[in-house]
Amino acid sequence: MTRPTGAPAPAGARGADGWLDALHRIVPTPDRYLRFDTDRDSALAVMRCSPEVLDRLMEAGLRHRTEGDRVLFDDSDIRNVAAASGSGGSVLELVQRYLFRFAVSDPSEWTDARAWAIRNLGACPDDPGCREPWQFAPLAAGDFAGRSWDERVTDGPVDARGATVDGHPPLAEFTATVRTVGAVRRVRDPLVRDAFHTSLQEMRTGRMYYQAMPTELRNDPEAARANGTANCISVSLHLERVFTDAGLEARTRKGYLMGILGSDHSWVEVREDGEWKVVDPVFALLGLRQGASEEFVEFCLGSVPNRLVPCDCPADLETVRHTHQQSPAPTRNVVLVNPLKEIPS
Amino acid sequence: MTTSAEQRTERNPNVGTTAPADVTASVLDALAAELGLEPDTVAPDAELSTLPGMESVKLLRIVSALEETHGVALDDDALFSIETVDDLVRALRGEPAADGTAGESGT
Repeated sequence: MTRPTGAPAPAGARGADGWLDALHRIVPTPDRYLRFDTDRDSALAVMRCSPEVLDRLMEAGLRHRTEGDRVLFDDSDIRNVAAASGSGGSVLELVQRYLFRFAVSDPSEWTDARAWAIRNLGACPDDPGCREPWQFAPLAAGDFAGRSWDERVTDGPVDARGATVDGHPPLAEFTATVRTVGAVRRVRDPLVRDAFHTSLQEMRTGRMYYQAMPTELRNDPEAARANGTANCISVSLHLERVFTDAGLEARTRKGYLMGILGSDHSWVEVREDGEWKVVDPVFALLGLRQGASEEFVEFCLGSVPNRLVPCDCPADLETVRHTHQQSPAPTRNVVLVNPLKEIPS
Repeated sequence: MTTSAEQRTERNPNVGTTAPADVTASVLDALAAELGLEPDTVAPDAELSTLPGMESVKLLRIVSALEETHGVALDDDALFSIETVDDLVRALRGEPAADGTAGESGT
């Protein structure tokens, strides 16, 4: 039930110094992708630091723009400083630590049947009262031998019991109940195996810095690699290109990652032996950061984890989409998950 | 020397009848720090999700702080079993949840 806090223990609170140090360690969003659309309240909701720390970061060079009485930040810069802060309490740190804690548990827990209630809440950073339409990608749980029930979209005010989406009021939601079950598979193709390990090693060594990126950058794997950054989407799209260039059948998937919190996630699948196999070096990286073994790394090279719920969603689109003033708009979303004790058959 | 946490536990004898005072007191301290509540107002059988101001990220910040305090890391099944204040106290002590499902999450 509990285990001693060892090497994978969470980073301790490092105070303001940790935040300032993080500012100089992240790869800043390249100028051409900068978008100042995150206000101060939203930044604080993501970072979970004090306003004084945010002030010190601004003094130390955190890029921002002042419009009237509003101060705006680049969303990726905010998320990356928070993730690198070592505070232990920012949203991204908590997501990564708790979503991948299962990676150090018994391997049987990577694949056993699970059931979850999902809520994907969407918000519009441009207008807290925006009434323009929303779309949510439907689940494709059956692709992983799972099943979903009661998929519903509510396009309108959402009762989230006080929960916000990065400080914004939720304006729409997708809800569903889903059953997941994993499967142990192993990729045999040496080209795929080499590409997986190369990608993982690039991120472990920092040659490709794992961090958040703007949509346009993460959807362009060549540009992301030229920038020295990687995330689940850019890595999946890069590997898909490597595999298809070699004549293999491959596809990038979008979906949800289940746990005590939820998250969007992306991975690549390669067709081998008549079945799709999940190739996910980011999953391996984040598991290793929590102390997972090499057995878990191998698991990420073909197996289906019981924490993934695929969506029927093109690789270059998000699971939640929204228009604002008749044009596609950046959205904010948060995935809430409630693990269920009873597993529907 | 009596800490403020111990004093609070003494003032609320209904809290943590099966757990050492330090675990119960630390849970109340963590709830108070994150949510701005008076520890004396939190009942042991209170559902954490219904406490004023609670949301999923705050709950994990509380759990994270408590894990650090007690030098443990709760596994998924323990985390999934936590619904009440007492559940959290039990989980930190390594005890099964009240319904006996800890360690059997999903069944």
